Amino acid sequence: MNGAVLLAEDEAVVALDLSCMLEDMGVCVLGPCATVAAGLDIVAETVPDIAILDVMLADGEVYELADRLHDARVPILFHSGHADAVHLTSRYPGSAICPKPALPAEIEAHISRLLAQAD
Amino acid sequence: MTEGAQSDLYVVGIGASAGGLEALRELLEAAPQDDPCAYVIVQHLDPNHESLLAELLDRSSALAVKQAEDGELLSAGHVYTIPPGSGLELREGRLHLSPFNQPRGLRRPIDDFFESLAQDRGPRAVGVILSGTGTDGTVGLRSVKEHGGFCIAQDASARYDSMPNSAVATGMVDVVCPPSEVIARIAGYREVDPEQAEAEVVPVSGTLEEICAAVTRLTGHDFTLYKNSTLERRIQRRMQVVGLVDAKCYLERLDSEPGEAEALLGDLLINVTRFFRDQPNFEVLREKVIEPLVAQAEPGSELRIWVPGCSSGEEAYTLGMLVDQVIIKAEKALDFQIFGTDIDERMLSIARAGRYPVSALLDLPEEMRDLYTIGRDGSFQITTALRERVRFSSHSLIKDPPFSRLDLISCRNLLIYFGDKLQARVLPIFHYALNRGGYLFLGPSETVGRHDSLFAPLDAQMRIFKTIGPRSPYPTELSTRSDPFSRLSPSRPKPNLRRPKDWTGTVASNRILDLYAPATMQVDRNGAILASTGRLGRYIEVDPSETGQGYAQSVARAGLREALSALIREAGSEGQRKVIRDVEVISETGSQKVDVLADPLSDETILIVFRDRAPFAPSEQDDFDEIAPSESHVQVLEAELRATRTRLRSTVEELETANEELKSSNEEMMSMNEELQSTNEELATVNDELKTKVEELSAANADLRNIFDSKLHALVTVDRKKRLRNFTDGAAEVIRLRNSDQGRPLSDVQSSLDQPEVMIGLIDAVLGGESPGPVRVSSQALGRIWSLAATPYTNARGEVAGATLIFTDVTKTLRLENELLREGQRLRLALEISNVGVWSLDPRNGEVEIDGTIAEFYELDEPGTFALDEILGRIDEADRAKVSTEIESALAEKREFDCSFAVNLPSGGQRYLRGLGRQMREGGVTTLLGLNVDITSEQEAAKMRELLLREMNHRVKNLFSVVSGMLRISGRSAETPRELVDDVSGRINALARSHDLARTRQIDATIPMGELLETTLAPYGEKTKNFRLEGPEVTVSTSELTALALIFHEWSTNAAKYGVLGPIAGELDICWGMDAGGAITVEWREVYDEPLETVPETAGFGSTLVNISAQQIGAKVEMDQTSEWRSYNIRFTNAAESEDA
Repeated sequence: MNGAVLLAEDEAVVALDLSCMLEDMGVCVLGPCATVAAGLDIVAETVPDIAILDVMLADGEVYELADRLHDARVPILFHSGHADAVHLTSRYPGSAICPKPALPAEIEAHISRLLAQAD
Repeated sequence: MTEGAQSDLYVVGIGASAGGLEALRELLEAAPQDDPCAYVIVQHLDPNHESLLAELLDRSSALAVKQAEDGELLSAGHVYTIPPGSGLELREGRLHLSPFNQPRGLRRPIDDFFESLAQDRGPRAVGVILSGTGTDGTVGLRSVKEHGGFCIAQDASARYDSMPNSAVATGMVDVVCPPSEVIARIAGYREVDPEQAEAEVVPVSGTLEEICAAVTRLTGHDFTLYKNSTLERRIQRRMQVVGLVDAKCYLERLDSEPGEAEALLGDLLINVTRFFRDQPNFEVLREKVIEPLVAQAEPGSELRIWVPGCSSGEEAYTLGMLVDQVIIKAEKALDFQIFGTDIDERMLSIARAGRYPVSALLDLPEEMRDLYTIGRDGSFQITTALRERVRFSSHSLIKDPPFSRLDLISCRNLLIYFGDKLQARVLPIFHYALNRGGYLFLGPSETVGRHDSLFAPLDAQMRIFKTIGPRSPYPTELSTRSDPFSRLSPSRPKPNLRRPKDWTGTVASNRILDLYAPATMQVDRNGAILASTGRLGRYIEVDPSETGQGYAQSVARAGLREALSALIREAGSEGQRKVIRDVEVISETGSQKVDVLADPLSDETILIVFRDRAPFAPSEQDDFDEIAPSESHVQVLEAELRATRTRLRSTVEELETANEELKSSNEEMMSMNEELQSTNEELATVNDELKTKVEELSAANADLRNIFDSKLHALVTVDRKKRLRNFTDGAAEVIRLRNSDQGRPLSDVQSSLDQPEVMIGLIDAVLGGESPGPVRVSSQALGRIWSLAATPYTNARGEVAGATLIFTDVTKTLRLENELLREGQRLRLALEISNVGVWSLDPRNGEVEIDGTIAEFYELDEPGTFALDEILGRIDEADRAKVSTEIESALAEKREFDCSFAVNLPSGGQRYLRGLGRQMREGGVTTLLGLNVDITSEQEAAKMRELLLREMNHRVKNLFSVVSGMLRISGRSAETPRELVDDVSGRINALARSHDLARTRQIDATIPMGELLETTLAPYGEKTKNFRLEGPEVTVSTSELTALALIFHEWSTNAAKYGVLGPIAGELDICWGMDAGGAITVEWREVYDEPLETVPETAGFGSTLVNISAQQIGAKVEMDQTSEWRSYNIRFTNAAESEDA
């Protein structure tokens, strides 16, 4: 499975775990970035196929980045302990939500589906 | 009579004197509040003292009682009392005060008032005489009655019965009853008021003739020709008295009720007469008639005067006094005879007695009083000398033959009762009776009418007339019913004799009787001479027609006396005609032989007829000689007789002188007595009043005594010099007073007050005319506090005579007040400290009163009263309806109010308040009283708590994902489960320790780098000997903590597995610092003791984790190694520092 996935996660251990999982899936990982600012820098250079976003990042909430991605029609998977599902799906229609802590299989299924959508 | 609505008002005049107060009370107590009469009370009062009469009576009567004022208009249901020192008159419904012009003792206010009452009210006047001494009121009642009014006198219940008895004796009183019945009697009299009678009753006018006929039949007096209006009025009045409206019923009563005809006759004959009535007229009469008559009269002759209709005789006596005075003045030897005639026997008996109530004395000119009257107890009598010259007899002007050869006829106020026909008949009789040139004196409203041919006015205004022409012939038509005996009828009331109707008295028959018929006497069974006719001089010693009374036996001449006695006795007992023949009657001049016949009549009388048997035999001179057998004896006797006579005469003269003296002292005594009497009456009245006043005073005194005896009231009175006047038992306790302290100056009294000068100062202020407010005085000794008030003590004259001190014990009150104050302060403090506001809602007007705290809550300018809606308007819209409903249901269901709400502040933002409230009843008003508490901080804390919980939740979830991530990462590199477990637990422990560091500090605190490193390296404690930690005070923020802890953990794990903390000997140098750019640098350097043969490999995953962690905090990590050492360098910009920068 090909594709570039933007990973925004400020928890190093989680970020490493997800990176490993995505690489195992054969997907190219952009990041992981711990801050919104770093995420925006990446997006400015490369538009990913999908994005996995933690809502709460080291420099604040992820919405600015999410807005940018949504505008670029990039499907988003929110992976967060904060996640307010109703709020997020209404703000970002078509996005998926996977509350922390999630099983790897669950995340994999979401990513596969979203990548398929992106294609 | 007055005009308008006043005219039908019944006015009751009440006369009373000594003992009257009691009777008046009794009388007025019976009066209902809506009594239609007006009452006027006339009493004998002391002119120098105010009367309490009105005040005293007012209490016992439902009517309004007041002292009369001059010009006051009478109104129904009111009682007016006479003021002291003046008389009272009623004119046109108004009371007028008039000063007395008589000296005390001769005043008669009751008579005066009754007379004005009678004139003003006529039949609507009621006169009442109650208890009293003297005779005041008697004359007045007569006037009331004459004008058709109603007369009442108190019965035997009167304490002093002389006044009512005097009134009753005149026969003028209609009703005699106790005072309590008076009102009811008046009501009964009023009820038969003819003007208010129903239509179907028969009025008097319809039956007048029948009533007259009945009266004629029953009494022998014919009133047919009297003036109808007068008759009707009098009959009507009589009917009112007996309570009849229908004249038919009255007619029946006349026949059925014995005495009624007499009573009616009495009423019909009432007329007012008094001494010197219309005095000016008498003056003129004296000048123009009496003086000329006396001047022209022959010495030794006799003046003859007739007073027809003389009633009780006052006028006859008046004329007697006048004539006597003129004769004395003219010093002429003249005699005079006055004939008073009337048909009313009751009046005649009064006239004959010549006794009148003392109040009538006033009518006599002063000079006459002493000359012609003798004082008696409560009355006076005409002197015997005058009485002898005035003869009274029952005589009807209408039916009896008139007197003749008269010089003057005084017929006043009689013709007014006669109808025209009757007047026309009477005047010629007068003309006949008078001598040529005789005088006629009429009443002020009477005239000679058509008979100006008989009488010419001498003084028309004074009603004095003189006859014209020769003497009239005897007016025969008048005598149609005359009775030969009536002229001589004695004063005794006769049984109802039916006289022979066919004896028609004419001049002729009179003549026959006088001259040709045998001398005759009519006597009763005892021989009392009832009548006589013919020349009786030869048979009896005096002429009974001259002396009036006598017994036939005693007046009979010698020789006849025994025969008469036997004859009367025999004829009387057997009822048979008797005769005694040839009785020789011897008189001074000779003897006469007569037959004496006795004829018993059917009416129990006996006719004695003298029939001469032989001519009169004059006595011969010889007879005298014969009676003088022993001359010397007679001479001696005569001498003795003369001497005795002389002695007798001088004794008589002495006696007369003594008698005169006694008489005059008696008169003085009488007048003094009268004065004393009236003073006594006044005193009795005052005494009654005072007695009542004393009773009231005793009651008031008892009230005061009770107040003074009470321990509850502490009251002290002092005089102007601050000496103790009086004090209550309660006050004695306050300032330690004893009864012996009375009269001592208050300042000398050892009072138990702490500051007695305050009390003295207060008294000074009051005496100085100030009105100071109460002050507080205390007594340490008694442990009490009083409020002391002082008021001026005024005496009866209204002057300030001292001061009254009133002590009110306020010890308890003050204690309570202080406690309340403290309590209040405590509560206020509690409210202030707890920042609780108080509000109260008045549900009646929807107003809320709030205090300063609430005003601050709502950001209102100041506390005060606001409309509930205004306050509700400040509440956030979301809560407003809830609060409003809560308040309503709390009020309706009487339960507590509890509600939290947000308030929108004018300054922006919100404040959260909790309101608590409860219904309170205060002074009958229900209010909702409550508190407001600011719960904003609690509300915010709750929000924060929620926020924290969410954060915690997030962190925990995060932690779970970190742990699961860590597991998976470790899973990728670990070869055995043991390794996996060690790996993961080591990492988790590192994280936990770093978390501990953060947790023990406050949020946002910083952690010293050294401490972080020590904590990280703590598991390798046994190796610390080869540690070296070095660096300045550098701190890291908690946000960097986790990442740094992970990095240091990886490095130390690595060193423990492959480096100096593990298999390889060496030292660990860690030094940190801050470079020029403000970034923190940490160098981790492991120095081996011996160079290594192989350089240890760097762990794949561990370094990835380090890199990612470093990336998280924006740090750069470098690793370098040789065979002798290995070093890690990390450099990052401190988040805490950079924020500060």
